[in-house]
Amino acid sequence: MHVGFIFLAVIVGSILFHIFTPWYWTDIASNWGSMDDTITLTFWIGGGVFVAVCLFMVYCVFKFSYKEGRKAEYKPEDKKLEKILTIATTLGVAALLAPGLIVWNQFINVPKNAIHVDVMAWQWGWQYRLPGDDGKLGSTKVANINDNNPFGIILEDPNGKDDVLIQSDVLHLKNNRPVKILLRSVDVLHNWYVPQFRAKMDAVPGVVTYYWFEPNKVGEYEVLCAEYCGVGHYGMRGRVFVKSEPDYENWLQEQETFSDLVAKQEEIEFSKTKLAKK
Amino acid sequence: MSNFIKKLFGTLAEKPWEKEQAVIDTNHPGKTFNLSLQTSAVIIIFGISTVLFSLILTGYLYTMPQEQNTKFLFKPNLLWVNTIVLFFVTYFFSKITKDLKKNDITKIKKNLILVGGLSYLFLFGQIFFWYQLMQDEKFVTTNTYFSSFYIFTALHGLHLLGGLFFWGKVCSKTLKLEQKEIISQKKSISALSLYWTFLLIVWLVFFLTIYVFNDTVIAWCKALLT
Amino acid sequence: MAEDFNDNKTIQAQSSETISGGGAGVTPDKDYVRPAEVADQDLYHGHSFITKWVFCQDAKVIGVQYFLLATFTGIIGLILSWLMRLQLGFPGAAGFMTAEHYYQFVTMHGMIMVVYFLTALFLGGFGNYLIPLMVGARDMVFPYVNMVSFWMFFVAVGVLLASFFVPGGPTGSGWTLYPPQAILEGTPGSGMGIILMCVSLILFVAGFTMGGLNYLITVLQARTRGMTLMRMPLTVWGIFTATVLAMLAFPALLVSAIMMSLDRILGTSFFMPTILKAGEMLEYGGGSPILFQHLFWFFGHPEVYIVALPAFGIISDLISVHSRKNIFGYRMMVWAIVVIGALSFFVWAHHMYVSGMHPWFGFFFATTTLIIAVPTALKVYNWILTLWRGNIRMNTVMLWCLGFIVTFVNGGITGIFLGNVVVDVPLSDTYFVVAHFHMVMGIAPLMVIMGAVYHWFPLVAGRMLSEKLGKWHFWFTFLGAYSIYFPMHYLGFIGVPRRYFEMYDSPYITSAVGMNEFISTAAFIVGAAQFILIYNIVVSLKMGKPAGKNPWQANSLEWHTPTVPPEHGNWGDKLPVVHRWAYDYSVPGAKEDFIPQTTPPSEVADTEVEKT
Repeated sequence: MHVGFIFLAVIVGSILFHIFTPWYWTDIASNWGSMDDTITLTFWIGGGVFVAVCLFMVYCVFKFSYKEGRKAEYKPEDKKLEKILTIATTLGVAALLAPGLIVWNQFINVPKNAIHVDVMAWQWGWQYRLPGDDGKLGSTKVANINDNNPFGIILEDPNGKDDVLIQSDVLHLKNNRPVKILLRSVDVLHNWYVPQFRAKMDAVPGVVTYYWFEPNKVGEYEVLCAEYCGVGHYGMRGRVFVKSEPDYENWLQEQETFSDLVAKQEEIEFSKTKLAKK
Repeated sequence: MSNFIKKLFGTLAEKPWEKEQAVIDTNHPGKTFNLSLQTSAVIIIFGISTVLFSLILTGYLYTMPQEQNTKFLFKPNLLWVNTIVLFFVTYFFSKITKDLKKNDITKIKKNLILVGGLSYLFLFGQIFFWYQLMQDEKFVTTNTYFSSFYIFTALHGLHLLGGLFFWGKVCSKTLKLEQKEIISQKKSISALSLYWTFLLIVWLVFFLTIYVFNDTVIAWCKALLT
Repeated sequence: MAEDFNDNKTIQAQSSETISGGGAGVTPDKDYVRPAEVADQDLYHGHSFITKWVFCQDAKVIGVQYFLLATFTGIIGLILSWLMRLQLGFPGAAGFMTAEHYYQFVTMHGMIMVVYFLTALFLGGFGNYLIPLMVGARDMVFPYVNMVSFWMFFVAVGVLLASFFVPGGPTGSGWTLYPPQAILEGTPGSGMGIILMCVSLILFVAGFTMGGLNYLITVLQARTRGMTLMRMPLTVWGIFTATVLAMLAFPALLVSAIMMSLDRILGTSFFMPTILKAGEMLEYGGGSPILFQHLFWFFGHPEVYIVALPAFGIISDLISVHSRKNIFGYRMMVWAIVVIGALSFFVWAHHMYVSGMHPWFGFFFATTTLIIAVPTALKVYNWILTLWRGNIRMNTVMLWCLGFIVTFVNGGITGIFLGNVVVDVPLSDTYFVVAHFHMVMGIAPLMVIMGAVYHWFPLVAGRMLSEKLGKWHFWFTFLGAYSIYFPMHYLGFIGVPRRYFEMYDSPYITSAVGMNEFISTAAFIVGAAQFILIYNIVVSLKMGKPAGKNPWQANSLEWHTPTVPPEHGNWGDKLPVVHRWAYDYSVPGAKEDFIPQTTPPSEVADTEVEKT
């Protein structure tokens, strides 16, 4: 008898834990509320099945525990019951899958007005690049990376000249404006993940991957690396500030562009040669 | 094949608890296919190795459509000879299978030795081809094309060596046999024959996609991915 | 009947001999058995200690060897998990624990538990012991190859453990061994460690293939007379299908291990693109890291079912025997096993939704993944419907079965979260994933293993395990493990990423400190509780109640050997003949509540089986 009660307690305990848990979603700060909704839907359907199956099991434990002399039912199969269960399960699964696929379709189709952000990862840090006035990022190559060209921008590409370079792990984003995060890595796998934005994607060396979201809450957020990348993985953090439009524009004005950087370096070169001549 | 599927799925529809079915089932000899243990083993190894080689080939096609040098300097050469040698091995094996039916022990013995010799010749040819490649400065690290080339030929060679190990066992037993005793090795010999046919098929797929038509295949892959 | 190559012929021959009227299906002599067609298997009987117990060709001994070695590596995995939990719950409590060590322990724990513990235990251990007994064979078809299989496994484990003692230590690249990180500096054990890991895996696969060859051919070709495929216990179905999966999936692991060791040793670039490391360009280029992930998960996902299917099979038998009721919907159970096995090759990329592969794959793999939920759910329904209107013995074995159902359903449901592509996006790489796969692939199969140990120990040792100790063992394990992994899902909701050596003070992570301490404490207790089983086994081997023949009143063949425990050759002089399926429990009209498979119809003439 006590067996049934303990299992019952486990199930009731699970439900109570879910209701009263202090540990749940970190508050969302992006447009992906629909992801939370699909999870909630899965929770209701899945949780319902879990509770139903377990309660039925507990019922059987109470009702059909061994009694000397009683004989179990002999019934190899019940086609009708099996058919009903198959159809019901299929419907349940379809009800979960359909909304999931719809949201996935939104997730992989980036809105046209999204600001592109190049996120470059290495062991173990981040830096960012934003497009300049032309709204386009210049193309890059790992082989081009050096002290004078920290992002490996291809010099011949005119789009790259006015790119805004942010050589720090702090990124600023405009509130209520979609961003397309373009991920690349120069060494191993990484993953640029902000729990409040929900979305994530691996940065894979050799290719450029992407995802998008629309931040909708002004504030400061922590960036985590979500793909194991070696011994410094847990320390690979960054920060994101979501700012209102005027604040964001102010910040953007202060940032250095690629042509600024090139000019500065030429200046240094120039003064060096001047020094040498003297 | 359709027969096989029918057999398999027919089986899965049986209701073993019913009395009528029980009568039929009790007559079952306990064996699913009319194959010897050796042949069954070869077929299963066939399945495993097919997956192995297909995965290497898929990996090759997956990484290939990038700018890589796939040119051999001396393309139509030794590999054709090796392929013909492998064809001959399979041909002689098919002769052996025919002779097994006739119980022609002397011919079987002769061809069995020939088969082994030719297989070793093939392996020697492969190693010589590697040597030629290296002379031409095409090493395993040169690019992924040659990496795939080496790994595929190496694994194919290892499969052949494994087969030759069993060939050695069977051959040493068979050579001691008299005319009438050949029946004791029949199953092993026909299993070996099947194995060599399989190795030929694997080799041909490789030879055609990675060697003979490599440029066409790569171009086709590029077209598919873009 | 349909699967036989010559059955029609025999039936006709038999009918003309025995039936005068020729009424189809009605045989006057219901006990008729066809004469044996194949000569009995010649077995090598060892006489010295070495050939009897060490280099032994008896599948039963090999099974026990596999079991012991797998358990040994499992205990190492358990100790590693303790060390990890110590760091996570009480950071800095173990002074020697550096990030390098932590990641090495994570890696070795994962690899050991998945491959060297669960796979080896289910297929090598239970497969070897049970297949020949359950299908009525004297031994595996190639006993010598079977022996080599175990010793390859032994060497593989040796190589794996040797990596603890090489410079740099074992690899710390995570059990998925993703390149480029796995073979580059910056990951612990990227020198010898990763090479030894690859070598060990190659050996394991080679050895396992030899074993698998045996399991497949024994099941297909060496069953006893009357044992049709559909009369086999579900345990054999589960192990058989899992072996088919293993045979098709392990080549992918082999290929990736070979290619990765070549990348590491020779400098090829199968998985290596152009890489800039510490300001220097490495001499790699042209390869694809995602190719490795495809290969790895093409192995890795079927691997989940390689563990799960034998567990499904075994649990079905345990529930049936101890509910004194046939397994509900036997045919559906077989179909589900086969369908799950087939589908498991089309779902691998659900581990890679956020890996940067083409996003369109998401649609396909989410659909296939959720489809696989249907046959799995049907299996769960059938287990609880077997309990329904049964006569359930509340013994230790049944407790493990009930524990399995709860944990498996829980882990299965969270699997639906992760399989549904967009739901996976926020949850992947968090503790939700860790909780999910430990629940469904760690705890649930462990429940089955424990149930199976309590169930079959009397057969192996001839003595019963202590029920009292068994119940303590169960409640500690079940309640403890549930309280480890159930709350852990909520860490994933918060967004706590996995594989973090230290959490630092991110605001939403600090709230989880208390939970981590609780989880760690529970983990220590659950781990320690496993030693109750070891104590139970050691004591019961000598002092346990003698089991006698068939202590559970089970039907399947393994309980009906002439001697208990069965000897080499299993069946004495005469192979058994099978007259019925393995689930004739509580048949109406029968005197006992079970009818062994070997009982001819004439002995139970009064039984009535309704048609379905």
